[in-house]
Amino acid sequence: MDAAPVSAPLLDIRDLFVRFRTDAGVVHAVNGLNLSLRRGKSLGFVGETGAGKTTAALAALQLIQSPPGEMTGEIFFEGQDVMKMTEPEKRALRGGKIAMIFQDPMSSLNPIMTVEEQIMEMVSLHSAGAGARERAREMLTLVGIRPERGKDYPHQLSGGMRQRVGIAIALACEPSLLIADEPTTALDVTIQAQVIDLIKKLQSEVRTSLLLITHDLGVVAEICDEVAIMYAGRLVEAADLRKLYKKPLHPYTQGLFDAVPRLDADPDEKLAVISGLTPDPTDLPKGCSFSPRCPNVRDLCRERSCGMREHEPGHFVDCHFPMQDRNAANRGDGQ
Amino acid sequence: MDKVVAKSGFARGNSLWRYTFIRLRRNYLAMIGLAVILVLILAAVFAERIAPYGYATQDYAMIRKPPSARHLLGTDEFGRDVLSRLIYGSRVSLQVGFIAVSIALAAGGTIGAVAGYFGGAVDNLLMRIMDVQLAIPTILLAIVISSVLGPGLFNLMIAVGITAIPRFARLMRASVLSVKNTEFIEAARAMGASHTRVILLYIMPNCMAPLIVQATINVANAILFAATLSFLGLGVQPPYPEWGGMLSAARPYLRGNAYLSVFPGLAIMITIVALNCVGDGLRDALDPKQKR
Amino acid sequence: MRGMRGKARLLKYIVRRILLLIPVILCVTAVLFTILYFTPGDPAHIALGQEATREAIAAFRAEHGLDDPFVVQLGRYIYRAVVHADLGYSYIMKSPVSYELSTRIPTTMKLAFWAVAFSTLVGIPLGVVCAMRQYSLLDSLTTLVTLLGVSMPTFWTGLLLILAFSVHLEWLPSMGFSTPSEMVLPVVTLSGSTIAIIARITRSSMLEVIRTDYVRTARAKGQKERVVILRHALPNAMIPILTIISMQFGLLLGGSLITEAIFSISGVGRLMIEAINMRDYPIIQGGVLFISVAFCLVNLAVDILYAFVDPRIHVK
Repeated sequence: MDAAPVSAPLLDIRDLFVRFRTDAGVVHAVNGLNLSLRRGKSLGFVGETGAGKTTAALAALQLIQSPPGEMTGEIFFEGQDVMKMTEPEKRALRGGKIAMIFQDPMSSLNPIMTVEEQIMEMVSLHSAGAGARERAREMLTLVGIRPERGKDYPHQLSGGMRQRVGIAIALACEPSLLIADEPTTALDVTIQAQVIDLIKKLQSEVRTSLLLITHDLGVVAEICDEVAIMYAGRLVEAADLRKLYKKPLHPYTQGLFDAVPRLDADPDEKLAVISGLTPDPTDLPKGCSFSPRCPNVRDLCRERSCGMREHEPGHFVDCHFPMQDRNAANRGDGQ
Repeated sequence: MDKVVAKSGFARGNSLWRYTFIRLRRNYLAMIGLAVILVLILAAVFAERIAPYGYATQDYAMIRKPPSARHLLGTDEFGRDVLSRLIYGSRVSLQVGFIAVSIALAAGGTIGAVAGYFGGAVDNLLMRIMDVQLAIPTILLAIVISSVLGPGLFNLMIAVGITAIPRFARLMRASVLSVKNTEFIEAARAMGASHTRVILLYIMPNCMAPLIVQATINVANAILFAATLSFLGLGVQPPYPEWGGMLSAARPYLRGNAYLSVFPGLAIMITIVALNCVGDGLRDALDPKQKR
Repeated sequence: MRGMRGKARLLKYIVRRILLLIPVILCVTAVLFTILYFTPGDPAHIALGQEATREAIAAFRAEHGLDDPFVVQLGRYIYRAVVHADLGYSYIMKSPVSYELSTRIPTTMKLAFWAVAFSTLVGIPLGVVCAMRQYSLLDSLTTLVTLLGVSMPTFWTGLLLILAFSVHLEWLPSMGFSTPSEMVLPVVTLSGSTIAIIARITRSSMLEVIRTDYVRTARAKGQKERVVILRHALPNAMIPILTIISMQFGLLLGGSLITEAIFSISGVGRLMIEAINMRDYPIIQGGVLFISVAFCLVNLAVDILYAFVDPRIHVK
């Protein structure tokens, strides 16, 4: 993923491993993740539940609790390795430089503090001087909540409004990177679009980079410039949006696309489903971790994984037999 | 739906209990506790064979003698063997513990099930009665009841049992409310099952898990209460030994014969610790999501 | 505007809670009266002794209204209790129950207050530290000690403490409750199991709360760990802890009976134990009633405290 020669990446994760020791064994949540994000860009970080996306994001914020968590690798943010930062430096980073919107707005706000206080806490931690309350009100207005409602407690707000508060907290100190962890999964469909539009609008207003964690390829298409597909703790494919959507190379990515219902599809045709389940993170398969579910698996895949390679300029894939070749080959066979 | 079923642990066959036992077996503290309780039960059952002396056998040559080879835990103010009295005393503690809790479980469980199942005015009335009882601190209520009923093993059990009723009633009611509106209860009702049948065969078995945990911990409480009442002279009457009563009798000799105050207390504590370990273990085993 | 409405709601909640308490206390009074009314044993016989003449007993019964129907007596008891704070007359002590209680209440209150204060001030920090350092040596040790703590009967703890600190070390007196040195052993005895229970519930409640999403949010803001714990985790963890403290208060009041008996402290508890031995029912009735009311008031206070901690209770 060193494909960004123009400017140094804002966030550059190299060879990140995260494990958790539990009673049930060691959970390999992230296994050699390489990911980079350029300043001002937005990256869609896509994968099924349990692929390790959230864990990777928390690692970037150094919020993996240890024990039971363990991290190795490097995470450069603005050229500095966050893994080597001191505790005060990490605290300045969290919220000030990298802010996060969490998945479940129902549980990610403190139930016994007013929402205004919760935004003010963020402001007073990263910007000196008075005016935290004014800033909090300003943020509420910005996310479309009447500032009087700042005196309310989270349980008095709807799910959509709570998520807006989460966004207000995250953007209050104008971070250079916003991580949004499935910000719409827990919301009603009608609210989802509003929240996505809000994130999109604010991202350009505040000029922050965005790392959008999601399993929704539609949302990614709407706001992201680049896409990275994660499977079992590592990337399987990464490219810019247009390339990847036009020509998915990894069979897993293809599977994700096939699983999206399409309006132009034959209504009688069944939706394709990727067979099998995500692998047990305490017991990952040998070779390519997707091999047990892959429709095109060959012996080599069970032997060893391919490793990330640049299949086409700017289009990376971790597969011995990328889709396009196979399609070509199949077509050749068929005709 | 599958998820819901798995989460609330609706008994399907014996698998819940089997898994519980497997998890419990991994908890060594709980297993030690279980072993201690088994030993106590055996001691209580076979007291006549195990105890070196009778509980009332007096030896005037051996009054308040410290532990020795003849009397492993010494003798009391009447020259009776302390070890033998402790062994016989386990009968009282275990009987009170288990029977009092059975009384509370039966009465409280029924009240809670009826209140939860029927709801409305019945629920309101029963639960307000429980509230009134809860307003009186439990140990005081036990004291009042046993001072009214008078001393004796049976009265002790009743007094201790009554005090634990509201706790079981509330727990049972909460469980019933969580099960009541599930589909399999509705299905049973649709098939024409009577209220009693639905409560006994469908609701009760599915609410047992929290009740059993509570019961285990309550046996410990009941034993403590019984000892406290006996310490106050309201429990089992001498010469029959009861651990709390033995402590009470030993008080005047605290200065000269401290061992008389140590061993009965130790017996109580070991029993309670064992029961608490089993209770904690059961809770963790039945509710694995709590311990992660 | 919103703040005002919030306060009005809180006030309304508190008033409602107080009003709900009144029927409960009246019912408790009625229940206690009923239990002891139907207890075998004629108060006149108890008061005058077995040799009293039939005439004397009849006169006594008439004088004290003992021949009136049950309902009349119950009504009279409640009326006098509510209007005149009169809880009847102890025929054995030849003194009004209210008077006997009132001379002893301050001592018992002092004992209970210090025990609650001590167990809260030790139990909560201990539980928090254990949760922060889960699986550390301190945590395992505390877990073990608190397990023993909840399993020791109060009277045994008291006897052991006397044995160690009065008999062997001769550091502290084993009787009385006036000087600070006399207060140490009773307070520690009474607090023992409460400390253990509070520490245990604090630990488990904190362990649950520090895994919540909102604590993670606070950390993601760049907040200091100490502030995360004190400002976000502990207040939320306090909700179950408060429940336990208020429930413990009942056990603690019961335990004060034992503690007062062991350390010869002349409080309500010792008065009641003497009354039990003498079958002095008016005193038993009055004492239990007093302690129950105190227990209810503490529960009420805790419920109100709850409403301050947790806006979800009164703000709807």
